[in-house]
Amino acid sequence: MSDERIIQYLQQRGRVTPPHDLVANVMAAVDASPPQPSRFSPYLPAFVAVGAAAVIAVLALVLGPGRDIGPAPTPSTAADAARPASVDELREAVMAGLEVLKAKPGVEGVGTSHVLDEVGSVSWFSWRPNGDQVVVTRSDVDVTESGWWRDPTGEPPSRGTNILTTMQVLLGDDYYLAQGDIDDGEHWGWARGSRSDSPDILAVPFPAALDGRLNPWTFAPTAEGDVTLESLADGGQVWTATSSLREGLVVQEFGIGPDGALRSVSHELVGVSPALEDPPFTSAFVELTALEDPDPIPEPDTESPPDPAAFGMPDLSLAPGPQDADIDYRVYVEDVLEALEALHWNSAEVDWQAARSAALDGLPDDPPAAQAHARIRRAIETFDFFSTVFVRPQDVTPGDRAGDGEPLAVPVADRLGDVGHLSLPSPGDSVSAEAVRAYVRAGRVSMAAVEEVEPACGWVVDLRDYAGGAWGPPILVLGGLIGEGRAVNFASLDGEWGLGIDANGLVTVVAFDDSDMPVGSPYFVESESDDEFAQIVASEPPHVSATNGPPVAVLVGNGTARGGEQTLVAFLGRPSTRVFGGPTAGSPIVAPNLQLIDGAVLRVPTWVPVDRDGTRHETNILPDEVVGDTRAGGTDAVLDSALEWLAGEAECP
Amino acid sequence: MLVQEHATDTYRLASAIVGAADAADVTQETFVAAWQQLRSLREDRAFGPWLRRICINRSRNWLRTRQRRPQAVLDVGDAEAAAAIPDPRGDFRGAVEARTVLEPAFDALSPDQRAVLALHYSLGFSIAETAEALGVRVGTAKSRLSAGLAAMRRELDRPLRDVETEVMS
Repeated sequence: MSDERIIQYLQQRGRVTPPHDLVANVMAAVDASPPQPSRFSPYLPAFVAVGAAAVIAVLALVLGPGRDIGPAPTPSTAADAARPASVDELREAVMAGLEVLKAKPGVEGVGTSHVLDEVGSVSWFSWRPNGDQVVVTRSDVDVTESGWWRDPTGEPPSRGTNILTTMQVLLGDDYYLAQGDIDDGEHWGWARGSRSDSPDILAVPFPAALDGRLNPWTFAPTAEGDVTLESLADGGQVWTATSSLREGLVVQEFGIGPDGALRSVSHELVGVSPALEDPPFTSAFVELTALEDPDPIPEPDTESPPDPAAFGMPDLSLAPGPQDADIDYRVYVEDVLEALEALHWNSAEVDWQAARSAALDGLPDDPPAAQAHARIRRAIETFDFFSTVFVRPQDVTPGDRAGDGEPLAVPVADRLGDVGHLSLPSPGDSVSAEAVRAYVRAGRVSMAAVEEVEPACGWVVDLRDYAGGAWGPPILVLGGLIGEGRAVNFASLDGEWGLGIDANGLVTVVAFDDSDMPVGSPYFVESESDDEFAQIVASEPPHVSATNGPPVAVLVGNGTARGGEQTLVAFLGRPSTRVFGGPTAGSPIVAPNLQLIDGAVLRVPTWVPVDRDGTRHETNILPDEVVGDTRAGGTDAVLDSALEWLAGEAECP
Repeated sequence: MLVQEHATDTYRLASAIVGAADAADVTQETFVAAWQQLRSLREDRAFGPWLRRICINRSRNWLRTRQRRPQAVLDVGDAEAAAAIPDPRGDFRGAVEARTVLEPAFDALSPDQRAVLALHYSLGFSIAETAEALGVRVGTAKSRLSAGLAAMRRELDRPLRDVETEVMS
């Protein structure tokens, strides 16, 4: 069947007419719904930790031999819709759910943990109310123990060849332990002891839950809505707890069935770069099933190699994890290399054969995503350690974490006697178009305020803290000061484009050709920010000083990087301009962020800034006057030198 | 007022994801949830996109819940379901094909895949709008879209469906 027919069908699905009584029925349902819940009340992190500890303790106890854990908590009441909830409520619901499970004739559970896209371990357990139980855990040692994912260039080791299986059985007062490789039958053997000798944590359905490395269990929601309760149509509930972990999030879900029993626990790290103290997985899921009429757990056969299937264990496969079926990651790697070769400013000097060899030699036809990502990093290492950046999807910082579209900092202008002084901080890398607009507007308004009563005789432009990614925000602020003409050109392998500034200080992009940017690969996502940027360029009138072509002192240093250096280049060759401070960071080449279809980002240094005298700037830019940065000591020798120079200019007698 | 203004769009979105037979129920759930969460709606956010997000979440939950239950065999004579079958080419064969081949293939998709296909193809959202509605990046939306279509193709390529198609034609 053709894609056209499928899409035609999908289009038809949206062309339905609602029943005539829809609005009336909805109104009736809304009217009959319970009143709005009270507002989410704040709670203390310490209290949250206590709640989390209780959850862990109860998980440990649920399969214990009928221990008394105190009076049963009040069962949670079913809500009718998602609503904010407290950690206290969550704890009570989970405890109640476990109590319901413990009252069942038996419980079975299957847990899976992943490290990125790889299955790290699977476990299965079966439990009876008298404490009899069997627990089998199969762990891919290479995946879970090698720590490869914590190395930015690490790639998954061989999978499925180093499977450690541990089987533990508690039966009556007997405890059995077997360990080995279930697939090749080696290293198997039974050890037998008494139940009292068994480890306390035996049979926890989520074995890592009691592992000291599982810090995220001590989740600490800090804002309204970090814990929510949602009721399902089948009468069950989903509790979700979200908390921050470094630059990302930990999301935990607890599912409660319509019978009130806990039925699922999931745990996922989202956008969190790996660290040694983290658990040995990036996501884990446990599903619990109440057994209504279970068979007794059989006596193990200790005379022959243990067979987990004899206990009713299903096939627990350690197959590779979920992966986007539409991405051929070998082609993906090839396309990234092709893009690098087409775009990298220094492509002619790169040994692409060596880079391709590093990326592709030994790479299987359908590699896992993590392996492909690691190979790309390895290839980049062969020719460019510093400027070309490949950010794996899990390491990409969400753009919406830059503060609801607000830039992290905005320019501030003030007046130092007759001189205007403008500090341009970095707005951050992942700012939205709205944030860029706010940044530009703040800078222009602030400059205009400084000259509202009397024009400044000259300006100090401080780029020492502009280490951000984009040239756009500062140059749009400074268009009126940089002055009319072609301010800066950007040269790529295929030509040049530039920034022109008209008599009103408006910045225009001249002869920009991005035909090479979507590099013809289906794995690259086209940028949608250009239109937004064009709107910003056109929408905000720049501030133009009443002083005609005022002298400008530009302050730079090793904190001036990327967009800061490109802004500096726009001033080079300008009349009445002098640069003070130290050498810049050395990354002036414009490096667009290319987004890949799986969320990864490739930052390729592509366009070399060329100043109005025709000088290309590929590395550190030196100031006209080298002055040490003394700001840490409470003085500012660079600013003093700049003011001294300005005082000698004709406009600032 | 809000219900009247948004009921039809919400119903169409729900129908595109969960199917016409369950769309009214999901629509009701959506408005009840919205009513109860209205205080959490920030003033600077539009009601429409917020409601849409709730509808998508309710639809996904609906599907997940349904997947946990034993699936009832759909009665071919179910008048309500039959009425919901679009007749794309105005002919009987097209309607039968949609009913017996395409709809089961769509039903086999994951809730996330159904949601992305519904937003983009059924409701005509752009990729960027789809991504915003789902709360994911544009790249993720594209990837899911592509994966969803591929999954549908795979379902349709199953030999049994080919046989059914032949029988029906």
